[in-house]
Amino acid sequence: MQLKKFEAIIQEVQDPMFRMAMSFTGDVNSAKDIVQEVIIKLWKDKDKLEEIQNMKAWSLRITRNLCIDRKRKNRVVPAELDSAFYVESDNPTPERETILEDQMNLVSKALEGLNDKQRMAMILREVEGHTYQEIADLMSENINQVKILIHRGRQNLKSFIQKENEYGIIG
Amino acid sequence: MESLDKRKKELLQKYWEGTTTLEEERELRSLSSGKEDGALGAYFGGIENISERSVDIDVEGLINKESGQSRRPMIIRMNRVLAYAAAVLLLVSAFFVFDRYQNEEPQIASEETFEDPELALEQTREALAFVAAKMNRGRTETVENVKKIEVLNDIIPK
Repeated sequence: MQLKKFEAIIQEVQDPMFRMAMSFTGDVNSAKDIVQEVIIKLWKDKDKLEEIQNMKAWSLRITRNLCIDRKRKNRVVPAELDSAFYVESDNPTPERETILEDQMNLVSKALEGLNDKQRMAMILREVEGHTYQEIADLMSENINQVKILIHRGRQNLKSFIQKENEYGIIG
Repeated sequence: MESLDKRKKELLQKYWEGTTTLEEERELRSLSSGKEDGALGAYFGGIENISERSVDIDVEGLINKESGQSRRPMIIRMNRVLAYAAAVLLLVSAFFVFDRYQNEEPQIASEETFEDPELALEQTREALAFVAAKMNRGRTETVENVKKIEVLNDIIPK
C-alpha cells in the first residue's frame, strides 16, 4: 500500500481513535501516544489492510486493545511527543484546560468500572454519537446485544455517579 | 423552570434505562451541564469535551521517524567507522607533514657542503694554509722577542 493511500485511511479514522483513547485514559498525551502506536502498527501491516472490510471498526478495535493493554501494564503515562505532529482543535486557557482535564479524568474513571464491551459500546454511543445499528456493525454484535450493553453500562454509570456525588470531590 | 426540571428528570429516567434517542441524549447533556448537576454534569461535560476533540497526525513524519529509529544502530556503527577513519587520516597526515619537515632540514645543510670531494679537499687545504700562515707569522715574532728577553737575562746578575 502506498503512503498516500495509507494517509487517506488514517485521516478517516484518527479522530475516533483519538477520542476512544482519550475516553480510556483521560489524558491527551497518552491518547496521542496510543494513536501513534496504532498508526505504526497499521503501517507495519499495511499489506493486509486492503483485505479489511471495515477499517474504522478494525482501527478502533486495535485502539481499544492497546488502551486495555496499557491499563493492565499500568503504562498510561504522559508521553514525550513531538508537538509539531499535532494540531489541537481549540486552545483553551490553562484554567479551562484544568477543568476539562478533571472532567475527562472523571469520564475515564466512570468507564473504568465497565467491562470491555460495555465500555466500547458506551464510547461509540456517547462520544461518537453512533446509532445502535452502527455500533452493532462496528462491534460485530447484534443490535439487541448492543442495547443490553448500553443499558447495563448506564446502570453501572448511575452507581458510579451516585457514589461520586456522595463521596467524590465533584458535586 | 419547573417544566425544564420535569423534562430533565424524564430524559434522565429514559437515559438510565438506555431508551433515549441520540437527539434526547444531546438535549439531556445541554440541560445537565451545571454545577448543581454534580458528578453527572461533570461526566456530561467530559463527554462533550472529548466529542469535540480532534487530532492531526503527520503520518509521513511519524513513519519516517519510526523508520529512522529502527535504522539508528546502523547509523551509530557508521559514525564509529567514520570516527576511526578520521583518526587514521589525521595520523597519516601528521606523519607526512613531519616526514616532509625532516627531509627539508638536510637540504638546507647541503647547500653549505661540496658535492665534489676534490673541490672540498682543495678548499680545506687552502683554509688550513691560511690558518697556518697566520699562526706561523705570530710564532716567529714571539720567538724573536723571547730571544731579546734572554739577552737581558744574561746581563742582569742573579
